Amino acid sequence: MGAIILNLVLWLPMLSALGLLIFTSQSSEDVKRIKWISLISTAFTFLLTLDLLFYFDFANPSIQPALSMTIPWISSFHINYTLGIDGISYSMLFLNNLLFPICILCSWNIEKNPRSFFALMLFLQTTIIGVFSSLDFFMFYCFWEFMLIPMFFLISVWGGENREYAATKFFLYTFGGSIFMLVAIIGIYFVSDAGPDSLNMIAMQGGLFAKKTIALGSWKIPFSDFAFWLLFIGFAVKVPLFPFHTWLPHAHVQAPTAVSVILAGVLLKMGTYGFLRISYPIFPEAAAAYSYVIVLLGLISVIYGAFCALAQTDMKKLIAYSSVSHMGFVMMGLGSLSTSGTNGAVLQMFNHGLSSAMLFLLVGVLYERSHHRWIVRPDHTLGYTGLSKHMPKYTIVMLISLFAALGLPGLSSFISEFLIFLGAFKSFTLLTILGAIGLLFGAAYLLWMYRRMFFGTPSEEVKTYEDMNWREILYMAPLCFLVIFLGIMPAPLIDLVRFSVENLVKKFTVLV
Amino acid sequence: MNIGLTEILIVFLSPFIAYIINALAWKKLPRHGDFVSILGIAIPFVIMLGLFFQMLSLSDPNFLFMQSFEWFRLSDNPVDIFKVGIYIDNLAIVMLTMVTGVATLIHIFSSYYMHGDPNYGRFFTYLSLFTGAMIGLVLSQNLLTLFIFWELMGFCSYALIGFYTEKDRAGYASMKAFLTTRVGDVILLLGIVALWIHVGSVSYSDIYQALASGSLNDKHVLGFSLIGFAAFCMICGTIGKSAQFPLQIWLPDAMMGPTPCSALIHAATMVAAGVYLLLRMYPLIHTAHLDLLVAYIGAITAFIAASIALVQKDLKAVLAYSTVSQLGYMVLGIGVAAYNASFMHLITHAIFKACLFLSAGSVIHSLHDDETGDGVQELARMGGLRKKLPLTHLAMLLATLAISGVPFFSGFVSKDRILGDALFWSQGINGGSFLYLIPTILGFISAVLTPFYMFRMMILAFYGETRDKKLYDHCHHEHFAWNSNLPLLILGFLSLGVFFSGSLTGQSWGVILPSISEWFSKLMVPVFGSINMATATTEVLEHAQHSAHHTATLVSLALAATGIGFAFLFYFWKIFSSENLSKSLHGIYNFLSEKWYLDKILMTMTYKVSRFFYSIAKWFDNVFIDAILVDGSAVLVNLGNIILRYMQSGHIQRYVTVMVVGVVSYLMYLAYFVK
Repeated sequence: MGAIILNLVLWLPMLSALGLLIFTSQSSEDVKRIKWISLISTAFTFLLTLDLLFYFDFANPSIQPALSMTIPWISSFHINYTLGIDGISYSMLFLNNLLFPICILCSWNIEKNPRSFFALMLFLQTTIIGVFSSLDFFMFYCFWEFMLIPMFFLISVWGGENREYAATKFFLYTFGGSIFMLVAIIGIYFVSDAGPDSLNMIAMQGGLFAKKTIALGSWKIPFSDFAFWLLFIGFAVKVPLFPFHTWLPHAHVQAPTAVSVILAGVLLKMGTYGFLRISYPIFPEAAAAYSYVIVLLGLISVIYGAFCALAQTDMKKLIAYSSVSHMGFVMMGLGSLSTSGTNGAVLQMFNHGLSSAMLFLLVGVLYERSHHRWIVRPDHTLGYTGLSKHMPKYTIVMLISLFAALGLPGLSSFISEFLIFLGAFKSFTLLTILGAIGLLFGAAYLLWMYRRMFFGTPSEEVKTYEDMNWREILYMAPLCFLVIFLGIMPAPLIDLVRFSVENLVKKFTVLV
Repeated sequence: MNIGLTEILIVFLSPFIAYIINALAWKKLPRHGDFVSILGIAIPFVIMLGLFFQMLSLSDPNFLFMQSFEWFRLSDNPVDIFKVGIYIDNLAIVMLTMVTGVATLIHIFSSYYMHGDPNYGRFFTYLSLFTGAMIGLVLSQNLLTLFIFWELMGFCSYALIGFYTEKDRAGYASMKAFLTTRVGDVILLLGIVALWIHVGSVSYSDIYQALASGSLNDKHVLGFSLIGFAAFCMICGTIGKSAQFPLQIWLPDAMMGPTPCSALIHAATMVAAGVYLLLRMYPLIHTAHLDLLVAYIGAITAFIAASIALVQKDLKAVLAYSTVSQLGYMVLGIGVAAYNASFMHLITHAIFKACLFLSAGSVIHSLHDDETGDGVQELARMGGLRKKLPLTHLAMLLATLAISGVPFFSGFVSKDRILGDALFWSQGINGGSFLYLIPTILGFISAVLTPFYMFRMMILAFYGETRDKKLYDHCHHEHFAWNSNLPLLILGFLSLGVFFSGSLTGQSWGVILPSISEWFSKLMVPVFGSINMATATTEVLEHAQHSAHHTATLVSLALAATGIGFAFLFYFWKIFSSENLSKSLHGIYNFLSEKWYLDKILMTMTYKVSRFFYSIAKWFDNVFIDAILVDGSAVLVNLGNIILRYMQSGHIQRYVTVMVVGVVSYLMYLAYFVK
């Protein structure tokens, strides 16, 4: 039964997307129906996601038996239709399926071809759920690549003035990265020699590749190193890890609000999820051998992202670079190979999903009113002044989001950042101490933005904006609630993921 | 003593419940919800008062109530279990009584001061969260929860300093306060992490135990000893939060907030938290031998701030610098092993400084400038207010006498003990070497500056003739009102020394409340688990200590008299002219009014350095990575595309040309190079 619901969660958005295609007219009646169908479909998907918890055995560290299924698909190549989730993937599914109804709500007033927009959004949802729930390399890769199609069109059709450049860059960059991943997957398929299991992610775990080597001409290298670094490129582009991050600011700035929210909230986590699900458990030797490189790159992302964010005058760019910085923390936590560090990384994935989504949603709220995103305009005048006097509700939500993003204790990100520091400090003391700079500047750019926009007397232009309306409050409320709740009571989320994390970390303790 | 968990939970939760109620519904509540916040702090105060008197009657210096609960766990390994808990000893009880008491009075005063503000309810909302965070910080059983409340207070101060959002300067001041303190906070966090890794937990009792057992002695962090590293991080936390040199720059700007919130920041919460952390981590600092560093930081802060306060022209600015200076005394006290006196100064200072700030609030509120629509803070426009505001004057005078170190007042008792211990520390323990004398000397110098600038402020504000007739006439004569005057008078009354020492003088004679004689010294002893750090007991040392205290008392009496005397000579009798002095010493005067240029240097440096880094980062990102590497690779592909397109054009002539050129070159290659 659980597996059936998981299938339903996976395919329902896709079916709804197909269902939207029956509306051929763009009459306001139909547009209304389209919106409501999308909303109900995503909301129902979210409820089904919650329902999965009834089949969830929290103490089971590996893939939930009640929530997995395998059906032979293309038997001659050992390709199976394998679905399954554990605590880590459930947390990502939850985040994703929570954000989608919110995104539908925040795109409520979209004017340009709403049918295709909502259909593509629903299609996107299925592909993301697919990435987080498939356990077969072939399926995983398919969903990973399919995800690019709706993203490309969503950015290039509904984006800002420079949308085609950004969409193409995003597409080529991530596509280029995943080609390396494909090579690694094909390598795994041939080298593992595991017969019908050779594309099963779970069966590949357990040091299967420890002694295998691969010959590149006359040069013999351990297969685990070879595959680890190929996968690394594919995942690092997605995270995005320095120096593979430059597609992100462009994509964010050009993307419509809903797409930015999904991009920052969930898509970036696909990269770190790839490390957690594939690279680390399958090649623990390589993960242990190169942990320093991973932590170092994470650290560079943290500090470099923070400095780049400090230089931005466009709200979306600033938040985009803050994502680079915050995802760097995730990599630091992953690279630490410790219980607290890895737990912190998984929590940070979730918490950054919440806080960055909130920030992008708020930028969208403001953009709908002002149609610009400048904090400081190119001619050095302020884009907004005195918002807090004129828009008190908006100010409160913004304060919560900002302080959630900069890791104020009592809000969710603090726990994850603290755990990452705790996990990384022992083996990577110097790097962790340097990471503290990221915490400091993380506060600096966000507060700088807040000060510029919210203090002072409201300008004439600002006075014409209305405060947040009920629809906007409705979709911000669950996120605000979650960041506060998880800040005070992180136990539910931690209990969801900690067994799976422990299971992963065990693979390294024998090595280190 | 019977402490129930329920009582403590009520103390802890009431302000938070008040916060939640007000945050959600202050606009809909009658009186915009001020009574909710006042109740939310008054109830804990009543409970704490009960506990406080129980503590006095029990009179057990080693009283400890500790309880912890699991917060969450990462695995079943004890290192991975995160706990929250309560740690109540005499120190915490006194601290909480002070915090809740002072905060209650500030809440009550706020209902007068903030009356009519459009965001009246929001102000109370933040006040509740602020005091709640401070209560949580004091109750914390471990450093992690301490840090959580520590940062939460940082947020509240950010919100309150930036409360008047229309003022751009408020935005600047709040950002500066948050980021400056965050420098210390981030380092503190590293210290907590380091301790956690090696101790296995950060609860106070575990840290004390690990220190006592010596198991940390051979642990290292980056080549430094762990104890030294952790202690240094704790000190940095204090430097940020308690506005010590060189991070003292944020506190004077923090007066951009409404005056009651300044009172809260400067007295009961926020800055007190840093000193409280040092008191809790005292054995760590002592074991790390960083006492001297702490003493220097405190003494330098006390001196610099006192000197800057001499030339301030703004009523609140004088008070702000006096806070920094007095905090310096507390930190100095911790450095010179005056644990007890230092804590006493924290309490006495909280009371008289709250009184001073609230009185200043009362003055500012009474002097309304119709042109700016704001209260007047400049001393230059005051004068003679004694007649208009007699009750405020009385309260402020009491508090000024206390801070100046006049006998019979609380500041005398506590400051004198710090100076006495400092003298004993430099002379008695460390043999009077120059290195150890400097902090003590700086402490004494500040003790003559303090009464001078405080009485200068008093005289300029309350005595003499008014300097702004219109403003003066506009000011209403003060009538007693419970929410404006009562808090001040209570605080002023509590600035008497007798409540802290049981005797009028703070010395062995003049005892008038024998039942509580020296309760403070008896009950607040530096005992941490199995570490007893109470001071030396040999007869010789005791004698030396006595004589040091004796000397210090006489010296500080003389200094206070000198300071007050000069203030009267300059500003009351005007025998010396302060204008002439500032003209003839204009170099020093400018140096002081520019705050030793510290503010400018630090801020410019921060701007320059961060601008340097972010410009580089921006350039590197846009030009090197994005344009050259990423788009450059696209250009390369494009180039290949052009070449191939040219070759694959479909024109047969072009193919033939390429073929001929190819074949000819190959033949030439064969002919010339292949022998």
